Amino acid sequence: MPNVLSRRTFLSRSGWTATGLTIAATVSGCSLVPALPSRNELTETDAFTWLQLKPDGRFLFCSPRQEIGQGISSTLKLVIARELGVELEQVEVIAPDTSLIAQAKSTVGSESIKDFLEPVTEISQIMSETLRARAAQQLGTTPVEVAFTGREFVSSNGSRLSLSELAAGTPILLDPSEAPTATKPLQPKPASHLPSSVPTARIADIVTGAPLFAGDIQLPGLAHGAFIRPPQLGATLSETSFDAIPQDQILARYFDGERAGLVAPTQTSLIEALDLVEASWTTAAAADQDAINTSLALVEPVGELEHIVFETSGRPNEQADIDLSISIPFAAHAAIEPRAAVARWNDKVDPTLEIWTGTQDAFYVRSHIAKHFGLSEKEVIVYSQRVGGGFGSRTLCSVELEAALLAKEARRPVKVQWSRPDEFQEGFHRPPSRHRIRASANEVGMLTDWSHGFKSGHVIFTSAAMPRWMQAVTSFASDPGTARGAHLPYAAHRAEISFSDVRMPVKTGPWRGLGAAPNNFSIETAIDQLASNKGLDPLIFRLANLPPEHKRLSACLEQVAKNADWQGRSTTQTSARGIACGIYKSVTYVAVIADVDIDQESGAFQVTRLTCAHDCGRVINPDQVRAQIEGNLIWGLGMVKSEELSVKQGRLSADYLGDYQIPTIADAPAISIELIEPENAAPVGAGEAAIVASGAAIANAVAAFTGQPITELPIRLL
Amino acid sequence: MDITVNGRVRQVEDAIADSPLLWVLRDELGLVGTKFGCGVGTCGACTIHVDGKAVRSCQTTPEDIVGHEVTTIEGLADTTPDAGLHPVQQAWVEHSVPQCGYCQAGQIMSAAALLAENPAPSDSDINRDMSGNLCRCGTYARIRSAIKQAARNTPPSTNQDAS
Ligand code: FES
Ligand code: FES
Repeated sequence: MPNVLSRRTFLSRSGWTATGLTIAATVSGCSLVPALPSRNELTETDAFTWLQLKPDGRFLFCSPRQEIGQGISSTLKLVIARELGVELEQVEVIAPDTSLIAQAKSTVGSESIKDFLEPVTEISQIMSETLRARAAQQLGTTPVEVAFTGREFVSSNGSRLSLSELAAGTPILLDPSEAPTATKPLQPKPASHLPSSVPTARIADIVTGAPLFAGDIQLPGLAHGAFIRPPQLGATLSETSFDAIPQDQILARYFDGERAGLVAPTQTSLIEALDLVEASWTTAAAADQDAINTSLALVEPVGELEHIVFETSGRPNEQADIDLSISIPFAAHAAIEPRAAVARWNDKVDPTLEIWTGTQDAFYVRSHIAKHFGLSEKEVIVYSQRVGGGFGSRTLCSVELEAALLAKEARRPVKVQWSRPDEFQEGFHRPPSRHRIRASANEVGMLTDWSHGFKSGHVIFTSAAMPRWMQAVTSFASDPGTARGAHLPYAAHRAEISFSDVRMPVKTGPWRGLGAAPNNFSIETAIDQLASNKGLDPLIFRLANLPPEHKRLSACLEQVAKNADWQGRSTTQTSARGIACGIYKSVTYVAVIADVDIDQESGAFQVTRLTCAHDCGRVINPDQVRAQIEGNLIWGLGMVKSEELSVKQGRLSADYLGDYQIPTIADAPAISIELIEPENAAPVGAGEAAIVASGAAIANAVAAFTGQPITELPIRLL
Repeated sequence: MDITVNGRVRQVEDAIADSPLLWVLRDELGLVGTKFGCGVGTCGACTIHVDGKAVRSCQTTPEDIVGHEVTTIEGLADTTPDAGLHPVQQAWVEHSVPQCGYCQAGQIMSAAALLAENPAPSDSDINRDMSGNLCRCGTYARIRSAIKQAARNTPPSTNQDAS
């Protein structure tokens, strides 16, 4: 009998551990390979380009992390000021353009603090020591004899040298070959002169309406452009006519056989002109929600799905106490800022092409565009603007290329401002997933069997990011974004967790928390149901089944129970409570209790309070961490209460925000958050953790009320 | 055609008299603090004041506002007698409301109009007046507290925005 490798064995033997990095490395050198999102690891030398002392005696920090509303600029500013021993106002943080610093990895995955705190702390310490050594030399003494006041160096004989005198007209940058190595342990310095929390960067500009975003860019001669959009997903353009548009309303037209666009002097004339374009489209087989549902149907046994997340040697029993099938729809990012970009071509080289955009990955945008136009990366500069809501949506290159194409055609700078329908129809979305969970517990309430199989559209190896041939290659690989958060935090005697990725006819991609939000929702729904099935309190059941290595999660549960005064599900005629918890990316722990009022007659429900205990290790900037958690809690609420996207008549079901409902202030509950900081726990991310528990806590409250688990999102009670 | 924006008379071409005021403000007058979020009145990012009342600028045209006073986020602080920020802007800073910040000009304009009319709004007043201003970052809890703080900090005489 021939030795046939099953797909699983092939995968593990060929070393395709299926990270973006592996794939990129495997195929690099091949000219067909598209630019891929920036995942390169940092080197020490990169970090040396981030910080400098300017001639005016202030420090400039070229942040390798993009400000997308997570408050990272102000948090890193606080760290730098603390390490340098200066005031916050002495540190200026900028989003550098791509020519200023070495390529940094994209701002995704809540990694800014986890991965960047240490190098930023270190370069600040090295800067501080280097400056002290230089000052000592100029003051004719040794570094230990020099005191630093925050503005100037003072030698023991009283002579003084200010920071600007030290710089003497030229910026001081660190030279990696000369710099001393920071030897101190990376512990926070006491910094009594600094506030304990700082608000998001440029808050004064935000509240007064100063220009900050890509759409706010004004340039001499700036025109406005847009592409004609297909009436259905996957439709191809067969003919276009611009003839109906008055000549003076249009500055340039673009047609490359596949797509058509135009450029007009103003945004309003552009909108009018777009209406007058006549285009005919050929629709192939239109995408269809029924077909999507069928492709996600879990027909095979869990053990036969493509990728194994975890399995014990003993397989879980087929006969289970609970058997749930959970269905989770597409979801949109729905950032309030629709994507926008400005492009300008220059006659001179270097830079040939300038791009202004709000992106989570300026370097990816640069390489994608350079590749498209056959330019070297040096010939393209991307100026990062503040992002009006990222949540994973600004990780690819779309509107930037459109602006560059139209600007080239129009021979003038062009702004492309996506419309709201563009966001829904041209953007990418959280893929839908289907989960089947079978689980059992013994008579003393210990989890014995856990079987979780799921199917989902792609998150990382998505059609939004790669050409068709590459999708085919990566279809064999397990998508780490889909798998995120599928591990069971609880100990089970026998467990099996596996999944298959399914190629969607809709562009899918990373959405806040990637797979963790749907996966943990499913886990926590099933755990709650199993507790009910056994007649046990869901808090006690969770605590009893969490293994000692997750004691930080137990601590969150205990704390949230205490803060919310948990006495069980406390179901009344009009209200109920629910609890849920989770671990994000193996490092951040969170537990949430939801209080929900329900009107039995109308089926309407209102979340009145979310209580959260959150452990992301040492907290650098508590107020911004809280802000991130508040946002996450609301995202979890939206996910279970109202957010849903589907394919209807060959299009995504929403064009405007009225068709896709994100939470409003009227939905927003009271929130209380406790940050738990275990001693010596390294600081980690807070940007995507609480979402894994808040939705499930709400759904579990509703389930306590109705007596039925929530198996379909969003929740519909009638 | 003349329109009055932030206390200044500005000329706009008759040809754009019926264009969305949002784009006239942003592209013709350079007032980019007023944001585009949907263009159809469903997000609130483009909120401005017309005679002190909150109005969606994407649903308004220059000809609608001839003879009326328009205030945008850039001019809001000047509607208070004191130097510095408007009490609502001040409260927004104190409560560190913004995350990405994109929706916040609209939130602030709606909140300032609400307080001008109702100096001590209840939670349900806030829900009713502010639920057309979407914030995807989920800053609602802070918006609520900042409005209440601004209500406490606003002496009654400064509650007449742009009047
Ligand atoms: S842009 Fe006017 S309401 Fe959204
Ligand atoms: S602060 Fe980002 S949308 Fe409101």
